[in-house]
Amino acid sequence: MNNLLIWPVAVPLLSALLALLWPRRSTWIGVLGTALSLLAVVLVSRQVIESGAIELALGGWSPGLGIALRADGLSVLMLLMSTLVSMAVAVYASVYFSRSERRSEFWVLWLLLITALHALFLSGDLFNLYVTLELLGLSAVVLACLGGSRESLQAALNYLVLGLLGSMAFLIGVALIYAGYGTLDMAALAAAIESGPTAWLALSLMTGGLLIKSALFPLHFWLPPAHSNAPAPVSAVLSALVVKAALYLILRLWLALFDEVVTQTAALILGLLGGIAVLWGSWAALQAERLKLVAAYSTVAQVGYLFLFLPLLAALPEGTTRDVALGALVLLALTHGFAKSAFFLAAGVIMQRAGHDRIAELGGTARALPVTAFTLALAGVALIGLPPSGSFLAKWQLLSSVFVTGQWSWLPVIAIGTLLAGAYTFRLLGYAFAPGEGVGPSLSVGREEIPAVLLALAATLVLGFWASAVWELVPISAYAGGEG
Amino acid sequence: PVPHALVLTGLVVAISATALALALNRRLREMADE
Repeated sequence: MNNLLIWPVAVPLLSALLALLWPRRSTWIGVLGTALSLLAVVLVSRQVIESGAIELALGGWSPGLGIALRADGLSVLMLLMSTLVSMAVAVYASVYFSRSERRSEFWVLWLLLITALHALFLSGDLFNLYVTLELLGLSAVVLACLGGSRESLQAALNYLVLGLLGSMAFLIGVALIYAGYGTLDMAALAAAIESGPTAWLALSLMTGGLLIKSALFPLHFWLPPAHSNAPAPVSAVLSALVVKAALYLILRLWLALFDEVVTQTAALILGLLGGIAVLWGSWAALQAERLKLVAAYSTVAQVGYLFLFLPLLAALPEGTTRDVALGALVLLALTHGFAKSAFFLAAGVIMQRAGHDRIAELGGTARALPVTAFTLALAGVALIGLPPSGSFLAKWQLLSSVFVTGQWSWLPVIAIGTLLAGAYTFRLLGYAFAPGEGVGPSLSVGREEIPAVLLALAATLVLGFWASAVWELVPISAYAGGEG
Repeated sequence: PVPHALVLTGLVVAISATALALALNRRLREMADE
C-alpha cells in the first residue's frame, strides 16, 4: 500500500479546481500544477525503478469492490513521457495564450487533460479506465476547438462524436466482462479471462473503440482536421499523448488481460491496417500544403508503425526476443511523442510569426527563426528514424523482429514508409531553409522556442543514447500473472 | 464496481458528453447563420 500513486492524479485535478476559482492567476497555476505533477511522476517512477510495480487500493477498499491504482514499467514510461511533454508544452502555452481571452479556460482544461492522462496510465480497474478515457476525450475536444474558428469547431464535433462511439464500444465491452467474470479489476481479470465467446466479443468491442481513438486506418479520418485546426500547444499534446493513451490501452488489453484470447489473425489484421496507415499517411503528408497537416498525417503514419509491431509480437514466443520487441514498440511511441510535440510547437512559433503555415511560403524561416528551424529538422530526424534517435533503434528492432519471425511482407512497407517520411521532412526543410521573406525577422521569445528544441533533443538524443532504460523498464509488469 | 455505482457514473459521463456535443452543435449552427 502506497499513497504515492494518488499524487500524479490529485495534483493536476486540484490545480484545475484552483485555476477555475482563480482565473486571473491561471497561467501560474497551470504551469506550476504541471510542474508539481512532473515531480509526483518522478517520485512514483523512482519507486517503481527501485522496488518494482506498486499498487494502491483507493480508500482502503481492496480490489474487487474497490478501485486499484497500479504503476509498473510501462505505465511509468508513459507517465514520464506525458509529464515531460506537458511540462515543455505548458511553458510554450504560457506565451501562446498570454493574451488570449480563452486563457483561463485553456489552463483549467489543460490540467484536466493531464489528470485524465495520468489517471488512465495508473488505473487498475476497467471501469475507471472508461471514465478516464471519457475525461480525456472531452477535455481534448474542448481544447481542440478553443481557437473558435468554424473549421476547428466542426473538426472538434467530429472528434467528439467519433470519440463517443469509441468509448461506448469500450463500455459495452467492459459490461460484457463484468457480466462474464464478476470483477473489473485488471489483475484479477488477467488471471481469469479465458478464450470464449464473451471474451472474444468484449475484446473486439474494446479494441474497436480504442482503434477509433488511436486513429488507425481506416478510422483515422477525424485526426487531420482536429489536430491541424487546434491551437499549437493543443495539437502537440493531442498527437503526442492522447493518441498514445488509446494505444497503451490496447497494449494492456492484448498483452495482459486478453493474452489467451488474442489470435494471430487478429494481430495480423491490425498489422495490415497499420501498414496501410504507414503508406497512406506518409503519402498524404507528402502532398500536404500546410505544416500542421503534414504533422497530422505523419501522426497517422507513425501510429501505423506502432500497430505493425502487433503481428510480430504475436508471432514471437514468450521470452527475451518478445520483450525486446515490446520495448522497441514503447520506444517508438515515446520518441514519436517527443518529436511530434516538438514539431507542432515549432509549427506554432512559425504560424504566429507568419500568420499562416503554408509550406510553399516558408522561405526565410531558417534565417528569421534559426532555433525553430533547427527544432523542425531535429524532429524530422526522429520522425524518419535516423540515428541516433530512439526511433532508429526501435525501427532497427522492428526489422530484426521481421527477420526473426520471417514475416517478410512488412519489409517493403517499413522501407517505403521511411523513405516517404524522409521525403516529406526534406521537402518542408527545403522550403524552410530557402531564401525568402515568408517569415519576417522578429524577436524570438526564449520561452517559446526552448521547450520545443528540448523536446526535439529528447527525441533524437536522449531516447537514442539512453534507450536501454526503456528496455529495462518495460518488463516490470503489474499483470505478469496473466502472461501466457 | 458495484452495479449501481457503474450505471450512475456512466449516466453522468454520458450526459456531460451529450451536453458538450449539443453545445458544439449549437455554436456551429449560430456560425452558419451569421
